[in-house]
Amino acid sequence: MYGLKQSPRAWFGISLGFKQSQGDHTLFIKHSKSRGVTVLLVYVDDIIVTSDDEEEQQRLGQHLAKNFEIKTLGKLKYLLGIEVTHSKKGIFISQQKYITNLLKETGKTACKPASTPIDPNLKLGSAEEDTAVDKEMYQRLVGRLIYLSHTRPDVAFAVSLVSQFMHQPKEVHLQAALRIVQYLNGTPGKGILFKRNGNVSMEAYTDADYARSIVDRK
Amino acid sequence: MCFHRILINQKGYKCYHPPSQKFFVSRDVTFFEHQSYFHQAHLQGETARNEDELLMLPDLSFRPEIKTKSVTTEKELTKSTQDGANVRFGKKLVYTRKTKAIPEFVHVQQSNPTLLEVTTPNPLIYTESTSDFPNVQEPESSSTPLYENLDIPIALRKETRKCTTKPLYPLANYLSFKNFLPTHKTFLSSLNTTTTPTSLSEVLSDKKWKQAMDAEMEAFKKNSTWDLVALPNGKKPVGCKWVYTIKYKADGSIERYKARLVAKGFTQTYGVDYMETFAPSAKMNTVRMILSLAANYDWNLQQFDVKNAFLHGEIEEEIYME
Repeated sequence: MYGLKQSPRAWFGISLGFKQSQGDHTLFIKHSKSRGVTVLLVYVDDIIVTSDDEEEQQRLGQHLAKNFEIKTLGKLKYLLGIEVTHSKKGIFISQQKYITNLLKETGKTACKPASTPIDPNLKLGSAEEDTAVDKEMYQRLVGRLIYLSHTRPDVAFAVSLVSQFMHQPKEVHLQAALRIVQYLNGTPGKGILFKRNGNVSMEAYTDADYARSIVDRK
Repeated sequence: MCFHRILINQKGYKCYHPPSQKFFVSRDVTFFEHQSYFHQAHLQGETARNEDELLMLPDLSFRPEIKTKSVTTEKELTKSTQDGANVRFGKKLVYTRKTKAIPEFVHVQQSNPTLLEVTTPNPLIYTESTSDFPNVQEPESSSTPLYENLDIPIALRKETRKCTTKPLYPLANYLSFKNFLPTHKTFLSSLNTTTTPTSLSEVLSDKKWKQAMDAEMEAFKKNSTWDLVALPNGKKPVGCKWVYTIKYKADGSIERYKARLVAKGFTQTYGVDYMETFAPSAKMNTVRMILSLAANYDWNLQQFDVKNAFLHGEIEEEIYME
């Protein structure tokens, strides 16, 4: 029943020996006896299943089809606005269609592509004296950029900068945001490639920029 | 006179004399803090004729008032009274328009003019010897044609507004579909022609909406979402409503009409109707992680889409819907 608070619980009743992850409650994992692993991820009405146990995966598909009215879409191609392509090298995800729409909406389809997402010397502050811009429009634009940074880590830093001024956007901020869009126009096909190299160790990097912010000197 | 400002580098107040629109500096200034220089706005059409009126200044367009220089002694005050000016609060009143007496706000007493570095503009200041106060001499009979209708409130002086029959700035002058893509054009024009119904009678008269509702009811039946029962005593039902949407295809044409019965979940109370809430949206990091795993281990990656996703919930609590 739509609208009821507990409606989405349907997903959490799935049994079949799946264990709910504590890190992400929409992730369900099952280790089968044949040392295989089946992983199920739910996003409202979209489900992704991946497994190295062909048999288990089939059984899950049947179970889902029995209990829910389900459309099997086959190999994962398109999820939440993200295009997924499979190749010999690995899995590539991009949001080209999303970028094309964004360019259309901002009227930047024909703009000159920028080579970087942000001017390297630009220091953004709150710019109190600058003229204010349409807040809703700005927030919408930056919101779309934030979603885009899922497959575009190259714009993530620039997006994090412009998203700091959502509450009171000024002309400079809008210009910086549009600069990101211009950069995207030059590179709409970029995305993330998950390489098939069998290396699943975790590596972490960090970098801090000392006192660069002109807002609070942090 | 009005609008004083303290000048830091000068020994006096900067004053403004509205009729002549000139500034001058004076040290000797009296403030009338309880009076407003500007008219208090009357309600439209109201004829203000009371005592307060006397204390109010008319708008900026009144005629030049008189500034006296060193008119401070009783003698001079008497003299000016003889001249026909009103005396109020022991100070010299400047001229009045028609029957209204307007007190001077600031009485400039330039008893020591030599202190002033900026000399006051000539037309403003009448010297002591000036006995002919031109304005003061014509007290009540000064109704020149120019001021004749000034007593009527401003709102009445204006012409009545006329309604224009056609819009002055029609939308068509500023909006055009010209710049849209053809697909957007069809979408936009279909937006104008197809509307989602707002009332039940509107729905029932339309076949396509009725079909959509039937399809939704069918889905309920299939999932055996509910049983019809009488409401037990002491139970509060949750409301529901139909939501109508039109689904568009990518090219802007209509895909289908959709009707959905939704429960008004906001009327549910925690602890009575529900114990937990659920939000089945995955974290993007998890999605990426799964993709990475699938790529690295060459796992099969499958996707499913659930129809009527929320019709499948098993509810432990009893919920009554009206």
